[in-house]
Amino acid sequence: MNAARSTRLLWLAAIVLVVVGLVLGIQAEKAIRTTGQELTKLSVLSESLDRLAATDRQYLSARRELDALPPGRPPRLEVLLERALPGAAFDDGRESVSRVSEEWGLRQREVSLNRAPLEAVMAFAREAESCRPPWKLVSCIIRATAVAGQGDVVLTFESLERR
Amino acid sequence: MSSVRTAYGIDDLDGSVIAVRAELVRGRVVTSRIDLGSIPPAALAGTGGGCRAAMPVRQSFSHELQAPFARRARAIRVLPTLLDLELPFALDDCVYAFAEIRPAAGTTRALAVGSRTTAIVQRLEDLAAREINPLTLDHEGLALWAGSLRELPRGESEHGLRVMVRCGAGRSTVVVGSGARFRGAHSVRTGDVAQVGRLLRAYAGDGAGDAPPCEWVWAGNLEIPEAIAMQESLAAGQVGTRATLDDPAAFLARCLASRALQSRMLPCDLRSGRLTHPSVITRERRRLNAAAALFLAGGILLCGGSLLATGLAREQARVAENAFQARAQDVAGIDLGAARREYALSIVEAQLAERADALRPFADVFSPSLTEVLLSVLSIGKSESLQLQLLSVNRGEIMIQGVAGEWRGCDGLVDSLREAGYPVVLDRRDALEGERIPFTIRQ
Repeated sequence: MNAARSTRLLWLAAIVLVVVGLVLGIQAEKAIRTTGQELTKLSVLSESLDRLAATDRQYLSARRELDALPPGRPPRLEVLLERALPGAAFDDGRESVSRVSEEWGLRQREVSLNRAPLEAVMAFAREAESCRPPWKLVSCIIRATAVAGQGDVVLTFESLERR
Repeated sequence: MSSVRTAYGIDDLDGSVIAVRAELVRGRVVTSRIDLGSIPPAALAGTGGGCRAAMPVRQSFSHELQAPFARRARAIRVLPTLLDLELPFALDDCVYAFAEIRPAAGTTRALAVGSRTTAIVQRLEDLAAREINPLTLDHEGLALWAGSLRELPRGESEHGLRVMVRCGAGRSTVVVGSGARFRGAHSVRTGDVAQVGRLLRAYAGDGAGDAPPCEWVWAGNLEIPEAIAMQESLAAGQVGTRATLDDPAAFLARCLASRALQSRMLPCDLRSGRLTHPSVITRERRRLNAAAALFLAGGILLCGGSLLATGLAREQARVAENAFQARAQDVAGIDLGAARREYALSIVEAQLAERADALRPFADVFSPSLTEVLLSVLSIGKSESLQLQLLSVNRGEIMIQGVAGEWRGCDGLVDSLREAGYPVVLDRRDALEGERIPFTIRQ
């Protein structure tokens, strides 16, 4: 092989390699861009996953905390109502108990009060929520009456109790 | 040339060979006359620094051309055609070079020098007969002019002609320049003073009368009678200064050796094309090979770097994908199989939703108290003098209807609910003057 031919071959090889390198470079750039997009997508999915996991942890933690409590039932609402609103007339609303798990049931109780002083009603709700085990106010509808500070009230309480 | 530190110049004046060695010492060229025999054979053969010879003016030509273009690249394209028109023989039969190309008032001027190929071949054969294979073949006129400026510097601003005469037995070379600019080179019969006078009057633009005042520089074989007579005759009939260079016989060889080391002015090599010295071809090929090797290395680096970058990017994606998959599996608590990304997340969601339904009552026990929200609403209603007609609150939902004393009366209540996590909107209706503003707050 003469010198001129070897120079030509060297240049040919160099050009081929540079062209291949450029093609690979373009592919690398695309791969990097695609990876960037994939990582962004995975990051968004991971955030959703973290949110789900956090909620799940919160639920499990709540369950564990309640499991640790001694068995018992919350006081009857009539007793608490009598203390907060002595002599008040109330409609004995619906009461139901549904099964949550093998050990736990969910008691739901509705209380309707007509023309009740709202401050006293709020005091009653607060006391119901502060006893152990507690009632939890899950719904409240208040309609104003002609007298200021009074209203027709429908309260719904829930309480978890061990079966 | 910068890598060359020693070069040799060779001149055959009147049948004898004169050799000069030039060395680059601390950036300066130092020349010394030597015997031909003390030149290393490699240099005589043209390798290493090599030796330089010149193409005599009587066997070559020099022409100043003017291309009507200011753009150099465009001018360069037409210069060969312009030169062809000037020559009495075909340009294809010549070896030529443009020693200088410079812009001049919207045009481009070029100095072309060259010689017939047959003359160059003959010159190389003559030198080869003396076992000299010059690395480059300079143009005698350019070498003499550049050498005269090196040894007797002359500024561009110095007007008037400089006439460089190199005498030889039979023929002499006359090189004419203005300021520091080369104008032309001619071969005259030694002692032909009239011819020299005609030439000078032509350069001065005056066809008749006396020759203009000139600066005379003498070199060559000044001891032969014709040269002595020529000097005396010109000294008697011409006005101007006169200088004789040191060792005038070796002047051309000195010029050639010096130009090999520092050839910034009017560079020229008439050994080109198929007449190029083999060592120049080899050096050029080495340079090309080195450039190709560099290019090759660049290509290899580019390939390697690209493959590495692609691999790393894909690996990073794979690691992130696996990490997500493992975490999703961990959260779901089941084997997700081949499910990936959104599908895997949907399985996790479904799995946790099932568990959440069973656990939500436990979590609700610890959720914020509605009583506190009610107390806050009633308290703000009282302080802002709102008349609340209907208040309905349950987990995550709220609706309040009422009337306010002024247009912005319920803004505080809306802000408070939003802070408590209820994304409520306020709907207000216009009222007549003196009437309260009905409003509804809902999600």
